[in-house]
Amino acid sequence: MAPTRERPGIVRVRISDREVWHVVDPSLTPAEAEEAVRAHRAANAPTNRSLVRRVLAWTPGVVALVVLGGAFWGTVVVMAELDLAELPGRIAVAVVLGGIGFVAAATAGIVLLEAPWRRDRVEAEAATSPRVVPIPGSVLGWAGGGGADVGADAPAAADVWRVVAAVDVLSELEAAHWRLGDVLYWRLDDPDDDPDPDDDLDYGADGHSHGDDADAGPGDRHGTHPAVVALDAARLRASEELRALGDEVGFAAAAGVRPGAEGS
Amino acid sequence: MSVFLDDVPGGTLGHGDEFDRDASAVHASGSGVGPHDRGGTRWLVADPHLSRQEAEAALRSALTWPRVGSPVDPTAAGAAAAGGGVLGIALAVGAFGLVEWPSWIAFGAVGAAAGGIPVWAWLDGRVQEQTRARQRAATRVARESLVEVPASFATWAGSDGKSLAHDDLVALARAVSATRAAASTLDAWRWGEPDVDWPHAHAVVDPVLVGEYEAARAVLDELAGSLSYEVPAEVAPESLR
Repeated sequence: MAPTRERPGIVRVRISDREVWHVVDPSLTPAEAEEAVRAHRAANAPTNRSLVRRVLAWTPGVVALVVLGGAFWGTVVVMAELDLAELPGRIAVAVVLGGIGFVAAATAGIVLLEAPWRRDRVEAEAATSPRVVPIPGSVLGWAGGGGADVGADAPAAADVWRVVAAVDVLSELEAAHWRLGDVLYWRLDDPDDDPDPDDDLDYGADGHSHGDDADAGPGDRHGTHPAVVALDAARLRASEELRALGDEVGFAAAAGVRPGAEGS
Repeated sequence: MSVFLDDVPGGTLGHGDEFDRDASAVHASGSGVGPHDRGGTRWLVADPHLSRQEAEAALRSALTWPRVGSPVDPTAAGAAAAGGGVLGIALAVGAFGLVEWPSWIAFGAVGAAAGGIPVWAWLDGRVQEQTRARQRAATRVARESLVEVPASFATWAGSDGKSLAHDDLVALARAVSATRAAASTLDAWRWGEPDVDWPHAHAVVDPVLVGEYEAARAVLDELAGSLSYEVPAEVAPESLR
């Protein structure tokens, strides 16, 4: 269960019109923590819109729904006017009219996406802070404590901070895994003649000069790049550390965190 | 005699590379990553049995957007769709005895789709498969028997007074190419996305990539020393210069 009210070290910051739970660095004194949270709130204030702006932002969806309702009503009226007896003919007319109505609703909604009263809003970037860190969704349930009696068995903010740091390292390494795949993509072997298509990062020697010195391994055409191996090992280490930390503080790492060790 | 090819020789209009290669090279060189900022590359034909024409064709097919051999002839699919439509209408009138025109349209449309779409999909899939197979074959040939080298390498190899064995030249070219590949990978990792800040992942990956470059560079330096080839500065990664 996610946190329902703030307590020391666990605060709510409004970013991009959403309440995001954050954990504050436990090494700060209460006064410093308050100051850091205040600065974080101030930095993210421009990302939030006023109520009027938010209502105006809904106009495309509202108009599309209205048009869709009108199209439904029009279809019913036309079907009643035609008064067909045979089922295939009725289906054909309904399908054609429904398609027209759907396209009309989609067009209205898409055109209104660029409406002038929506275009002038400022696209502020969400600011990040090293001292006030958002709690990922996989930790949120544990950070709020269990059951209705909130606060009784909720973990200490210092423990949440450590778990969030460990989870962040793990997700950073996983994101880096994908980016490394992009970086090494042009050295990928042709996937069509890859004997092991399950392995998503399967590097041969590089495209133009395979087969000798310096590369992944001499003659190791379907080998794996050493950077990928190192990153996988680091990921495994991070997930083991997270598991050990979870055992220590009572966070069920295997349940909420994406597979690190057990997935591969 | 060793043969060098220009970058995508004879890439002519209609071969799939209709876009302006020079303009795209100028555009891409601004990114700081990629092969275009090297002032031109040449391709050394490593396989002495490969003729110049075959090598050019392989390079062209491997590097340019694949040209579809022959576009799908719409006649067969159209005939199938028309036949399916007529069959559907005949079924509606004859077998089911429907008399309202929307019913005929419904059966005609379903019949035309059932006849035309599978035929067209099959024809198109066959053409695409042929194109892909040709490109795969060309890519394999290009990987095995062509080595990308800087343009200065080609002028150095072609200059007077050189009496290099073909195998030596190929080994040197492969070393240059491997070093350049490692350098490009390092640059792409460091500078590819300037917005991300991943200290942990950087600490893991960066030393591996630097080590890969340095190993390739050591091999290249040794070979270049024995062949008295002066390694150009552009081989080094920009992030280490």
